[in-house]
Order: sequence, then C-alpha cells, then structure tokens
Amino acid sequence: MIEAKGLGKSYRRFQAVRGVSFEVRPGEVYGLLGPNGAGKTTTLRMLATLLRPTAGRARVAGFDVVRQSLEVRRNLGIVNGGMKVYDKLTGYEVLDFFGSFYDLWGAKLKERIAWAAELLRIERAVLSKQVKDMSSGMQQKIVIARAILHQPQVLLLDEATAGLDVFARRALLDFVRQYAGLGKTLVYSTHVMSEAEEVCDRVGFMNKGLLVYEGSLQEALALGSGNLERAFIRRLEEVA
Amino acid sequence: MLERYLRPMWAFVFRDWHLTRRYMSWVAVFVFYAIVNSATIALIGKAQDDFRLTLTLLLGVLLWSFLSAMYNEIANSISYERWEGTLEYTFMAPASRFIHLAGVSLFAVMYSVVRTIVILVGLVLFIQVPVNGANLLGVLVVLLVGSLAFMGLGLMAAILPVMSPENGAQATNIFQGVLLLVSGIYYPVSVLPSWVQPLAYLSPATYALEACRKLMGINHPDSTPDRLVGAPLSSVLPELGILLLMGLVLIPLGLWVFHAAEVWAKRTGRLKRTG
Repeated sequence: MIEAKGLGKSYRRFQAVRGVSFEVRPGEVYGLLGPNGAGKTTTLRMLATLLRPTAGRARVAGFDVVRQSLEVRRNLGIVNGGMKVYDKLTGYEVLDFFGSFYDLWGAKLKERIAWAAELLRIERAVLSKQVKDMSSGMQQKIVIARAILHQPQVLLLDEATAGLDVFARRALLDFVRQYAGLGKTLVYSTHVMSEAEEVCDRVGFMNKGLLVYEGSLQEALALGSGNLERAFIRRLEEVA
Repeated sequence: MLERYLRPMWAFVFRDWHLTRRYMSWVAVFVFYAIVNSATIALIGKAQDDFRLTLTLLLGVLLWSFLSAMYNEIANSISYERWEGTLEYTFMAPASRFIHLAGVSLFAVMYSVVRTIVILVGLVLFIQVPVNGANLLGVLVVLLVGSLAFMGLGLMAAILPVMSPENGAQATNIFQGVLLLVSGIYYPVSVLPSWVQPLAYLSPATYALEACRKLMGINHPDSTPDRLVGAPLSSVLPELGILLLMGLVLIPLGLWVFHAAEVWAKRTGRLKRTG
C-alpha cells in the first residue's frame, strides 16, 4: 500500500532524506522512529505530496506521489503535530468543509461524522463549538477526524500525540490499533519509543536522513534486550 | 458529474463565509473606515461645488472599493491560511487548484459586491448627487467584465505569500498601491509624470474607469447637476473589449503562475513555514 524506493530530498547541499526504501502493507502500523531532525517528517511530507522528492520514487495506495498527486491525496489522510484547523470554525463546519472534497455531503456526511465521532470519542455537543473553544486534546481529535473522514486507505501520523494530555494520548493510541484493524495502512512517526512499542507492527529507525534499521517490532525489541530505545541506540552505534 | 466539481468550489465559498462572519467586528470596523474615507474624498468635490469632480471622486472611491476588495480577498487568501496554520491541509485537499481558486474568487466577488453596496448606502448619508440619465446598467456590465481582469491580478499576487511567508503579504499591498497610483482613480492619467503614464495602460482599472465615466456622462458637455447624459454601452465597446481580453489572458496566466509557485514551494519546502 506504501512503497518508497530510494526516496531522497535535498535542499541545495543539505540532504534531509537519503535513499530511503520501505514498504507498508494493509492492516499494518509501521513505526518511523528517530530523533528530531532525522528526516521522518520530510519523508512523510513527500508521501503526502507536500514536498517533491529530489531522488527516488514512492507510491501511495498504488499512485505515484509526483505524477498522480491528486489520486494520492484522495486516498490519504495525514495528522501532523503542526497542522491546525480553522480556529473560528465549529468542529462540524471543519468536517463539512473537508468532507466536500471526498463526495461527502448530506446524509452520507452526517453518517461519516457520527462514525468518526464514535471512533474518536467526540461528544456531539463538542462539534458545535468553535475550535478555539475546545481543549487541545479535543482540537487534535478534530484534526484526526478530518484526516479519516473519507476513510483513507493510508493514514500518516506524524508526532500526532505532541501536546496531548494523558487521556487524549490514550484515546489516540487506541484509535491507531482500531484503525489498522479495519485493514488500513498506517505510518506512525514519533521520537517517543514507548508509543511505538505499543502500537507498531514493524519499525524503521531513521537517523541523519538514512533508514538505518528495519524489522518487526519483536526483532527490534530483541535487538535492544526488550527495549526499543536501547535497540535504536545500539543500531546507531553499529552503523557509526 | 458537475456536482463533483461544484461541491468543492462551494465548500471554499462557505468556508470563507463562515470565517468572515466570525470576524464580523473586524469587517464592520474596516467598512466603517472605508465609508468615512470615501466620504472624505467625495466631499472634496462638494466643497468645490463642482458636480463633475464630485461624481469623478464618487465613482473612483466606489469602483476602487469594489476592485481592491476583490483583489485583496483573492491575493490574501494564502496569507490568511498561513496565519491560521491551515495552508498545508488546504493544499492537501484533493481538489484541483482551479476549483480551489475559483471558490475563493467567487466568494471574493460576492463579498466585494455586498461591501460596496454598504459603502454606497453609507455615502448617501454624507453626500447626495442625482444620477438621472446615467447608464447605471452599463456601469454594472463594465464592473463585471473588469472583475475578471482583477481576479487574474489577485491570483498572481496570491503567489507572493506562497513564495515568501515573511514578506509576501506586504508585497501584495505594494502591488495594490501601484495600481491605485497609475490607474487614475481620482484624477486623469495625464497628470501623472510622463514616465509613469505608460503603466496606466497595463492596469484594468484605467479602462474600467474610463468606460464608467463615459457611461455616467461625467465629462459630457451637456451634462448638468440635475441631468447627466450617459453614453450607451456601445460607445465603450473598445474599453470592454480590452477588459475582456485582459481577463481572458490574466486568469489563465494567474492560474499558471500560481501552479508554478506551488511546485516551487513544494520543491523548496516553503509550504511548511508560517508567518
């Protein structure tokens, strides 16, 4: 469902991502892990058609991210810690606006909003509030609802728990497993290893723009004697 | 099938409507300022007891109010998204850039029409000039045709905030200021320095004003303060033709330039930054 081959991104002399290759299958949660500045966000932004790769190629839901960007966007949802929704719109207006791009309106839209609200545990009354009047956790839920409203085959979550309190974080992690259970493809990018231990099936370690390790969660845990953080550090020491 | 294109376009119109009504206090403040500013300019003509000057100034403030509001709405649509932090997600929406910008432009036209009507009503409180005999329907036609060219200019100016998050919004204002200066909104183009005058011919506002002045009969020798001698629409066909041609060139050009700027922003990572 996601195929990246030799994907790279350079800004003049600086190489943000260097020849990254990986595949993610339907029903799988792939953890893209690494410290800040490792190239995770750049990789995801290339998959999301927000950045043009300077090397390699990638396909999302069977579509090329450069040549078929509109089709990629139809089949993709993205949640990024830095992306916001319109502060002055109500939750319902936000979802109504974005639903229009996916042939969702009328009864179909209402049905889909009810589905997303139930999945994310959003109370109906909250949807009538302006986003600026919601808690940060609830705002993030609206961001996620917007990303999954069209039930995309592929969902990219980039530092999605940033700024969330313990309850909202728990709800998000539960949602990730639930959504993968529907046969969807997820990439979960984070620098918080404990989150990845909880939700990922396979993991890739990124550092300085390179994918330095890839394997199942169990293999990665074994590498770190049961600890993903230790596995990451050990792998970096090996390739140094 | 058509609904698939119209729905996303209307989505942008409704989004902008909801955002505008939530910022209604700001809208009210700016419209109040526009009314006072327009009245201040138009009263200069009344002080001179010159109906031709008064009408020239009135027409200038209203036409500029309409065209500049439309230009601003389109040109600043990207800046607004940057301030809200929503630009990336809007660009992620699976709608073609044509549908996106058509929706933004449609709202801009509707908003500008309503805003100009409110300003006109406000102006009546300060100044009343009979317009008997003026070809007001013709003026409306010129405004509609002139809108196309201004939409194209707005689309081209909208790329500035895409290219430079820090300085793009300011640059759109400079561009707007140049248009105001060279188009002869409140004065004949002939009073401009000779090196500036050629620029007037590049501005659609110059032709729109020229046509509207004829249709209103402002400079007709037989016009009096009680009865204007407005020209028929057929007499401004050359201006209408130029405006239409400008619209037909500037809108596709604006879309193309916007597309090129978007590709460039995705290549250089400029979409991410907020400002």
